[in-house]
Amino acid sequence: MRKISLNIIFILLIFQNFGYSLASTDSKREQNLFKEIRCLVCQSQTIHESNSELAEDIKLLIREKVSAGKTDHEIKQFLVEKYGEWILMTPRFNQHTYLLWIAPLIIFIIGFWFILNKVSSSKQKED
Amino acid sequence: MKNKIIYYLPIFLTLFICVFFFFSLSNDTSKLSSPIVGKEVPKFSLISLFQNKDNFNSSDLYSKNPKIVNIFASWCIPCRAEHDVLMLLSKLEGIEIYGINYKDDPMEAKSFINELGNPYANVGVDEKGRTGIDWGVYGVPESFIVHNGKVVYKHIGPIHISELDEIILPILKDLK
Repeated sequence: MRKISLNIIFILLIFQNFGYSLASTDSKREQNLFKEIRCLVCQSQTIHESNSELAEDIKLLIREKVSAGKTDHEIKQFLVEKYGEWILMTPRFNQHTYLLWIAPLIIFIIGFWFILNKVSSSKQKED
Repeated sequence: MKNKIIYYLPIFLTLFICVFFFFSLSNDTSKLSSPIVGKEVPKFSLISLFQNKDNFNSSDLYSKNPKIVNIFASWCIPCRAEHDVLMLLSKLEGIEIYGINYKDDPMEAKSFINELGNPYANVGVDEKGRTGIDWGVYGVPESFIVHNGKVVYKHIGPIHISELDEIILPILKDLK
């Protein structure tokens, strides 16, 4: 009898832990989303850092959507539809932002090419 | 010769960037363009602030006559400044203004309207600001011109009397 009740307690503990870990991954997701969403009142802060009323409302909305089982992408898409791309702290890669994303690479390639040219021409002079 | 041009390039580049930044400085970032413009109004159904009126629904905005949706609150000082302009606008023929009372105490909203006059055909109560988010609201007051259930124009901040003549009325005229 004692064994059975111990077993039951053990099983209950596992379930409790399971529930706890589920809840904590959700709140981790929430926190990550808060850090990705711009506060439109304070503009250069994320809603994670801001205590403005709108930031609090959007945090609440994200919590609701997370517990309703929405994915990060769906939640971000919802906010972008309402407030525009600017609400995302990291701009997405699309037709408006591709230049922004690839410009550093292009500049790097040009610089690299420039240095190579210099080096090879100075070598030729030495020869 | 070719090499010399390359040496001047950084100077030109810097100048170009300076000019670009100079003009970007004058962009007003407090007024964001809204992705809601050109789209259908968000779906909502709000309890009316007035006891004798039905809910304010998104379906009320599907009409050939342009409607104005004004997001306001009694705690918002610029809303007070804007109210006279709304009163004036509501007296024009064929124009209906609907209010969304954003994150406000309904009792205070009522006394706000009793004190300053009622330009609204109906006012929906959005105590939690959830409908506000659907409209992409980030500050009050904000106003939208809606035609056939589509958002035509979004105005951020109070409508000044000069903006009524220069922006709002021409848009309403075009829609009629």
